[in-house]
Amino acid sequence: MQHNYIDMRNTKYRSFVVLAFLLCVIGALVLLSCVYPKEGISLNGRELRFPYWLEFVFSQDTAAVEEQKVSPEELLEERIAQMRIDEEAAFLDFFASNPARLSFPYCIVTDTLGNIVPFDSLPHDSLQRDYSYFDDFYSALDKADEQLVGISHYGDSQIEEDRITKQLRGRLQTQFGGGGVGLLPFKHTYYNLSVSEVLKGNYTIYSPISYYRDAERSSNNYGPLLQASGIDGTCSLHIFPRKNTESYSGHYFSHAVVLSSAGVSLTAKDAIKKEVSSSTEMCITDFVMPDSTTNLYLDISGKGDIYGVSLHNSTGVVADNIALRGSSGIIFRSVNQEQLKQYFSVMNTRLILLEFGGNSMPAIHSENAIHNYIARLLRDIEILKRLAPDAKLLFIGPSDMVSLSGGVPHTLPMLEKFDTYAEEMMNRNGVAYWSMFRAMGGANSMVEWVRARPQLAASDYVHFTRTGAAKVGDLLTDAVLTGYNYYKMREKYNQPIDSLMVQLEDVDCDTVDNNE
Amino acid sequence: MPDILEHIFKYDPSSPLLFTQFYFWAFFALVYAVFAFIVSIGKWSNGKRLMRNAFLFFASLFFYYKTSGLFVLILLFVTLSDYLIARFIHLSHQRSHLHSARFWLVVSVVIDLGLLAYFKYPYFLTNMLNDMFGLNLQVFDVFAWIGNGLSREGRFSVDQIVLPVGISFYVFQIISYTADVYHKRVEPVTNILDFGFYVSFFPQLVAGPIVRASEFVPQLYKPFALSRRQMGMAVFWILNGLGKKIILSDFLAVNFIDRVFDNPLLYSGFENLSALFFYSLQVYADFSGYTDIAIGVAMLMGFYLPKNFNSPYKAPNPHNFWKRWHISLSRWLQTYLYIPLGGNRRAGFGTYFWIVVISTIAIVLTGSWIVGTVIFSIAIVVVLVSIFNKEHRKKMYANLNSFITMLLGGLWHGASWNFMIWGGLNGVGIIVYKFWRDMSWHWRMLLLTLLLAADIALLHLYPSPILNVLSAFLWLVFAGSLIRYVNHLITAHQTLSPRRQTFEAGLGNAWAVLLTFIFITFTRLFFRSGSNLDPATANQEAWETAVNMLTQIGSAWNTNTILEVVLSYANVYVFFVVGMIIHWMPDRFKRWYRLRFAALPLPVMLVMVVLVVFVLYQFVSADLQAFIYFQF
Repeated sequence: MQHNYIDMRNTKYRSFVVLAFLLCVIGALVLLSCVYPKEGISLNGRELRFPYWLEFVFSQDTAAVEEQKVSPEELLEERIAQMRIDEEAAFLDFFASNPARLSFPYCIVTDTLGNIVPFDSLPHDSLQRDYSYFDDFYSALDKADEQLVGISHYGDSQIEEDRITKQLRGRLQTQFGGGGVGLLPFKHTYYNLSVSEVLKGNYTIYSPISYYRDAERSSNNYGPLLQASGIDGTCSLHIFPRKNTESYSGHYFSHAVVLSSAGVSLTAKDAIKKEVSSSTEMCITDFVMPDSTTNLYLDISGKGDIYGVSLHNSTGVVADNIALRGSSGIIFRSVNQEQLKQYFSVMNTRLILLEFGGNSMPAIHSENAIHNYIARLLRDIEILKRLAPDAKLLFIGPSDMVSLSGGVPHTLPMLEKFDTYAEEMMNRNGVAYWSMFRAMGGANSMVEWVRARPQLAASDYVHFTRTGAAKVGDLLTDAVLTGYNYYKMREKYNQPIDSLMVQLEDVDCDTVDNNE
Repeated sequence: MPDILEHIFKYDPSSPLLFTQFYFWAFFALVYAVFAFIVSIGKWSNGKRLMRNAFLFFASLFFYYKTSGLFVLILLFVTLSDYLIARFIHLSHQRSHLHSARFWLVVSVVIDLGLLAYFKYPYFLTNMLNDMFGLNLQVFDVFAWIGNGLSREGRFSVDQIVLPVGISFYVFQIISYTADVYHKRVEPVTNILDFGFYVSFFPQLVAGPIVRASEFVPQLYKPFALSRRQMGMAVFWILNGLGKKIILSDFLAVNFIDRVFDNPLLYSGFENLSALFFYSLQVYADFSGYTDIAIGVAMLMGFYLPKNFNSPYKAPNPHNFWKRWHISLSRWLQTYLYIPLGGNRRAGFGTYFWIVVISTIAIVLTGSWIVGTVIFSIAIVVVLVSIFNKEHRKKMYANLNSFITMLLGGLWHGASWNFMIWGGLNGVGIIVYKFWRDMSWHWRMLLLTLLLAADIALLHLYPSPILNVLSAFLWLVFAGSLIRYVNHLITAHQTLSPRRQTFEAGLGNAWAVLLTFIFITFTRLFFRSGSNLDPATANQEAWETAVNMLTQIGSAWNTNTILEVVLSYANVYVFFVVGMIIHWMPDRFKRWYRLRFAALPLPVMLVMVVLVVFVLYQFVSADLQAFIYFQF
C-alpha cells in the first residue's frame, strides 16, 4: 500500500479528468433521481427519499413557500391596515372577511312554535351570526370603573410566560382601568414575563395534567388554575414585578385574593384581611392593601392546599394567564367544578379565552379524528358555560404548525381542516372563534414567521418567540376591541342590528376609530 | 425560459449560493469546465496564468453577487483601494520613504476597518452616541441613499444597514496583504486581476479560512498541479464537510438546538444543558464543515488553503484550544494585533488605547459605569504591577495583551455584550490556565478549596442559578484535581513503569480535555445567544437568552424526566455521541482512513460519492422532530 501512495503522489492528473469525474458524479445523481421512485422507498418504517432531478434545479424550499412572498412584518402591517380600512368602511365587512376577525356564533333559529331548529337542517347560507354575542362583556367593560371584570385565558404552552395574555391585559387595563396580573400559581412552574416570586418553605405541587400528578391524591381539588400546592407547615411568599421589565398596569394591585382549602392560615404584610368565602370547596381570602402596591408578602401556615393568588384592583379589568403545558383542553371535567364556579363568580369573570388544539394536531391524521376531538372539547366547553354563566367564550384555534416532511416545509396536513371545522362547530355551539392560523397568514406562514428578523417564531415551527407572541397578542386584542367599537357604534345609534347594517357604509370614521 | 435565466443570474437573498445546495455544485462544474479548458490548452505562460486567475476572479465575483447582491461593489472597492495602496507602499519602500509607507498603511487600515465598522457596528455606534449625549440618532445607510439617487428609484431601504456576507473575512484578508507588503513579507501583486482573484477566491470568500497573502500569493503564479492522491483527498474533504454540515450541524440544530435557544424557558435544565453541548458540536461541525468543503474545492483547482481546525475539542487547555480552533483567525489576531500591541514584551500605546476603548464599550453595552470602571481598574492595576514587578513583567504584559486580543476577537464576531463576555471568558480561561500551569499541586489544591468554600458561602447567602452552575463546575474540577493530587502524593517518590506513566498521562490528558470542552461549551452560551440576531435588538435579546438558559441550567431540573428526554430525542443524542467519538478519534486513525479513501479507484469513489449524497439527502429530507414537552 505504501508504494501505491507514493505512486499516487507522483501521478499528476489533468484537469479534464477532474472535470470528467465531476460530470460523472452529477450524471450519476441525475440518473439516480430519474429512476428512484418519487414516493420513496420504505425501509423498516423509514421513508428513504431522493428528489426528482427537476427538484434539484428548482429548489423545493423556495417552491414550497412560493405563495408566501410577503414578509410577516408586511403581512401584519397589511392586516392592521386592512383592519383600519375595514373599520372605516364597514364593521360587517371586517367580520366577514378579515383573516384576523372574530368569528361570532350563529344565531339560534326557532320555529313558529318556539322550538330550536338544528343548524344541520338549515341551508348554511341562511345562518346568521350573532354580532351582539359579546355585548354583555363589552357592557361590563364600560362599567369597569365601578366593578371588577374578570377574564380567564386558558391555553397550552403557546401562552406560557404570560405570553399573549400580557398584551390583552395591558391594553384593556389601559383603556378600561384595572391593575394586577390576575391569578398566579402559588409556586410558578414556568417563567412569568410580568412578575417574579420568592417562595420559602415546603410544598408539593399537584396538577391533573402533568408530572406533578400524584396517583395517591384522592382529591380532585385543583382550583381554577388546575394546579394546587399542598403545604404542611409554614411558607412565605414574596411576589414582585420582574426586574428589567417595563412597568405596566399589571404590576400594580390593591387586592390579593388567596384561594386555599380549609386549615390554612394566611397573613399578608400591611394588608387588611377579609374572608370572602369559607365554603368547604374553597376558602377565598381577600387581602386589601392600604394603597396600590407592587409587592405582596404572604405568610402561610397549617396543612392544606393553596390554589393560587390573584392580584388585581377592586375595579377594572383583570386577566388571568393559565397555561396548561401539553394539554389538549379536555380537562375541566376531571377537576372539582364547584371551585371553578366559585372563582368565576367572585372574580366576575365575563370572558373566557380557550387556546387549545396545538398539542393534538400532530396526532390528528383524519377528519374523523378532528370531529372526535372537537366533540370532546365541546363537552368540556359546555361544563365551562355552566360554571361561568355570565362569561362569554372565545375559542382560539392553533397557530400554523409546520413539519419538514421530505425536507419541504409545509403546514401539518390536517391543520387547515381543523381550523375550519373548529370554527364552524364552535360557532354552532354558541362559542366565538378566533383563528390564529388565519391571522398569521394561513398555510406555511409559520415558515415566514421563523425566518423573519427579528424572529417571530421558534425553530420548532410551533411556538412563537416573545416578539411573535406579542404580535399575536396585539392581533387578538385588536380583534376584541374591533368588536367593542362595533358595540359602541350600535349603542350610539341605539338601533337594531338589521336596520343599522344598511347604514353602516355611512358610519362616521371617528366612531369606528378605536383602539388607540 | 426567461424565468430560469432570471433565477440563475439574478440575486435572490432567499437562495444564496451555499455549498449544501445543488446550485453551487452546478456552478462549480461549469466554472471547472472553463477552468479545465484554460489550464489544458497550450503551454504554461504568463498569459495563461492571467487568463486562469482573471476567469476565477470574475467567477468569484458572480458567486459573491449571487450570495450578497450589490455588495459585490464593496468587495470591488476594497480590492481596488488596497491594490493601489499596496503599490504605493511598495514605491515608498523603494524610495526609502518609511513615513510615506506607514501613512499608506494607516490609510488602508482606516478604509478597511472603517467599512467593517460601518456595516458591522452601526447600531452599536448609534446607541453609544445616543446614550452618551442623549441624542436620538437613527441608522442611515449612505450607500442605499446613493443607490437611490443614482437609480432615481426608492429601491433600497435607507433606514437599515445590512451586513454584507463575509465582509469580516475578506477585510481581514486584505489587511493581512497590505500589512505583509508593508513588512516586506510579500511582494505586491502587479496585476489587479491576480490580486482580485486572491481577495475574492470563492471557496473561502464568505466563511474563511482567512488566507494570508504570504501563503496564497505565491500560488497565484504556479501552474495547475494535482496528484491522484490530492484529488482523492479533495473529494474526501468535500464529502467530510458536507457530512459535518448536514448531519452534525443542520440536523442537530433544526431538531433540537435552535428550538431550545429560541425559547429556553420552555425547556428543562437538562434540555438546555444538552442544547449547549450539542451547540458546541454543531458550531464546530458547521464552521469546519464549510472550510473542509472550501479546502476540497480549492484543492481540485490546484490551490491550497490553510488548515483552519485541528480537532479543537482535543485541546487539553483553553490556550491550546485557540491553536486548534479557527486557526486562521487566531494566527491573524496574533500577527496583526497581539504582536503589534507588544506581545509578551511590552504594553505599548495600543494596549492603553484598547483598555480605554474596551472599558467605554463595556459601559455602553451594559449601561453601567461600574462594569467599565472595574475593567479599567483591573487593567491599570495589572499595568502598575507590571511596571513595579520586573520579575513578572513579561508575563503580565503577555496576559494583558492576550486578554485584549481575545476581547477584540469577541467583538469581531459582533457588537454585543455576549460576544464581549465570550471573548473575555476565553481570555480569562487562557490566563487562568497559564497561572495554573505554573503552580505546584499544593497551591492548586489550596486555591481550589478556597474557591469552592467561597462559592458555597455565596450560594448559601445568595442562592442563584448562576452560582449553582459555577458550583457544579468547581466541584467537577475539585474532584478530578483531588484524585490527581492524591495520586501525585502517592507516586511522587516512586519510579513508575513507562506503561504506567503513559497510562496516567493519557488519563490526565483525557480529564483536561473534558474540562476544557466543558469550559469552552459554557462560553458558547454567550456566543450562540448573540448569533444570527437583528443587530438593532441583538444586545438585549442575546443577553436575555443567555440569562434564561443559565437560569434553567442552574435551577429547572427534574431528574425523573432525563431518561424520557433522551429517549424522545434518541436520534439527536446518538448523533451527538457519534460525532464526539469521531472527533476524539486518534489523528493517526483519521489520516489512515482518509488515505484509504483517497486511494480508492475512481469508479469506486464515484459510487461512494453518490451513496454519501443519497444518505445526506435522507437527513436533509428527514421529518422535523416533533415537539415534546417535559415538565420541570
